[in-house]
Amino acid sequence: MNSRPVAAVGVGQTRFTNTAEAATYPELLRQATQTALADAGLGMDDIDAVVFALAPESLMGINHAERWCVEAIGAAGKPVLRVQTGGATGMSAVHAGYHHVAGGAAERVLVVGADRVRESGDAQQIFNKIWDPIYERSMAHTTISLIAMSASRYMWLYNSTEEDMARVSVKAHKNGANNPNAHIRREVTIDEVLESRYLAWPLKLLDTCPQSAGGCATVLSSKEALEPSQDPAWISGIGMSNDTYWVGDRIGPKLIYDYGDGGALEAAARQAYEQAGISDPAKEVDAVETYASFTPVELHNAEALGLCALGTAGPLFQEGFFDMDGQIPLNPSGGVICTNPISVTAMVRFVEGVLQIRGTAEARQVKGAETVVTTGSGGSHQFFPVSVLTREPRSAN
Amino acid sequence: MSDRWVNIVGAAYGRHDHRNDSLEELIYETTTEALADAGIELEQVDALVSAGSDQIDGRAITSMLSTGPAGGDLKDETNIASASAHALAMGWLMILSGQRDVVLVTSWGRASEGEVPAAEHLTADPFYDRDLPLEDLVAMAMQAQVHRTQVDGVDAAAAAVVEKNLANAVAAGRPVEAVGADAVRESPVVGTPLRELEVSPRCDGVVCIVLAAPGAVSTDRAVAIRGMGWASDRYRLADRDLVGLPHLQTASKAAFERAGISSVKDDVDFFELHDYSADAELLAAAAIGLTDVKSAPGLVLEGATAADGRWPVNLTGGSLAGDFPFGGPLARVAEATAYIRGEGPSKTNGSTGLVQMSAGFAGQFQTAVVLDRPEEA
Repeated sequence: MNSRPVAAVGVGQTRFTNTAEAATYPELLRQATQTALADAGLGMDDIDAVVFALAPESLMGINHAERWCVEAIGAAGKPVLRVQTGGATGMSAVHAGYHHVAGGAAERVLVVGADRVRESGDAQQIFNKIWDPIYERSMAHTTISLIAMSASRYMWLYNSTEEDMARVSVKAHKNGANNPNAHIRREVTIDEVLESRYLAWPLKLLDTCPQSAGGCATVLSSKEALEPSQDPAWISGIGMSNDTYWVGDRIGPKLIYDYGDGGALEAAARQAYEQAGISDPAKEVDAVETYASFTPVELHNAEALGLCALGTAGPLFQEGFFDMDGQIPLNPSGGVICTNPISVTAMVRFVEGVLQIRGTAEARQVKGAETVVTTGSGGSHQFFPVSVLTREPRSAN
Repeated sequence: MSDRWVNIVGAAYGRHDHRNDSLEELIYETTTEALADAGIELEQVDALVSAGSDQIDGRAITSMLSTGPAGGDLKDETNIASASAHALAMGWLMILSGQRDVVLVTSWGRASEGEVPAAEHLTADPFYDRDLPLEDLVAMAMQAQVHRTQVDGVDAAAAAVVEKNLANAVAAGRPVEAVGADAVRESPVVGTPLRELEVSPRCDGVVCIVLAAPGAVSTDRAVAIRGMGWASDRYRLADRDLVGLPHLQTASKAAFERAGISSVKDDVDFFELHDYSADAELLAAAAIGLTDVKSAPGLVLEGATAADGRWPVNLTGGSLAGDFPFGGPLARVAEATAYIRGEGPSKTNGSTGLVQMSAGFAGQFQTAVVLDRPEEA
């Protein structure tokens, strides 16, 4: 069977904030839905199916909120399903929408989600509950300590430093200041990052993502259903792979992927690149929006995505290789370091990629962006979906 | 029949009481059985679609821990959290899209893990409904109240549904006892008007289905998914037609159209209808077009839905003989697969079946699947 070409024809985001006090959760969904539909020049009657992106609902405290919010996303009476792969949810949901259209089960699909990460208090108390109840919960394990171990491993493997991580933060905040929807919109200096308080060595506050609230949506379409007024960004390749659950399986003589590297992300990218016909991403990719909720993740993601060799990302950040005016701008939106509404954090990466392809990213536009790679990450740094967006549909599609 | 289909090449499920194994061990056990049933190795699997409920499992991002025992490590893994039936839909779409050739679909639920009704209660709207004692049992009881107010003869028909399904379960060797209609009517009321025997009892369980593109797995035991449809209804019970089930009408119509079925009465040989309550089976029979709502009680009382009837429904006892939360409906697909393979009641060998699955309060989400034997695997 052959896939049908699939394009993103509408995108919508709310302004991301700390608590989104002016809107309820369903209202955030509604705002994102209406914005994406208006962007596509479509109404809800034009949508055949809906994919709902909702990561752990424990964060906002309403179980199976896809049931409560069916009307808010315009899905009553329509096919709807909910995707939940932790932080990767937003991109996994895009993939689910892609399969609807590519498989011929729908012409147009709305993919939508929202989050209010602070609704239940401290997100890290919730995230302690993602760990095994017998072996790990009592260690006060959190997503911060999870990535701190990966970061220290990366530092040991490649003689990387906290300054390398700080440069990622400086770049991210500079880009985020150009993004009107970003949660954090202020520039920081390398000294500010290095002097910010430790959360779990070597991670400091300014190496770390915020807890954000807001909504995001995209409309996917078949080639046959395109409207003349639409400006499509083509999904030319998708890939998804996941690492083992246990962090202990990522360190030691029996490891499959080294925990300091991004092996599963590399595997997922390889699938997406093959489908998109990309053989040398360092030369063929114009911009990247990668899910890096902590600065050291951006270092190993750049390497896993084939933008540079293992262990070289730090020096390249220092040279400005990944800056807006560098060879491959990395996270022009400011990335997850500036905005983290977990259920849709990965979808925001995708939506930013669509804007870059269209050339409508305003102050953060990468000139001539025709191939943009977008990624997600979820679970125990475990689930890694990748989407390649292109200006023109690729023949491999 | 549709010339575009996806094969079920392996299936396994287990319903358990009093197993001390961890959920991960149960998932590993069932996945291993399904792979053996398909005659393939894990290396031949491209992707895993799991369906788990964080609240039923008592942990956030439940698929983190379940992915490994379900065979998803180092593979494409997607967790569908809205319904186990939706995971089947996702696997079906992944193969139709040409992106994957072999996909494992796994779901589960353990009633023994904690207080399932407490988790269900927290799905209620926090502003208006949370102060009400709303949970699945209360929602299905409210649906039954509306049903029995609008339609005559449901009390007797509901008892007949229970009697029929438990008889089928006994014949299939399930660990339940047959009961007469009088025993149903004399069982205690658990949510007016529903009596204890009219509601699906809960257990623990896991189901795993192996899907494959035609030709991807060599087997002479394949069962084809000819068509699928799924649809949602509004959230609030008061806003819904709890008797007409328009969303199930939509879902089944989509499944029939994709399968090329023009007459459900003539073209479908058996039915697995989600009997989370006795009323639910009657309502589903009407919504899929087997009869109309007011005639459904008579259909059951005449024996048309009995194992030897014109349109057999729930041949191995359905959910009224016991089912596990969240993942349970998907086990009905595994059961129907066995029927069509000739591993169930003899008259279903090589036949065409419809499986209907629901999730949420009074079946807010509905899915319908048409299965038959492909001419070529």
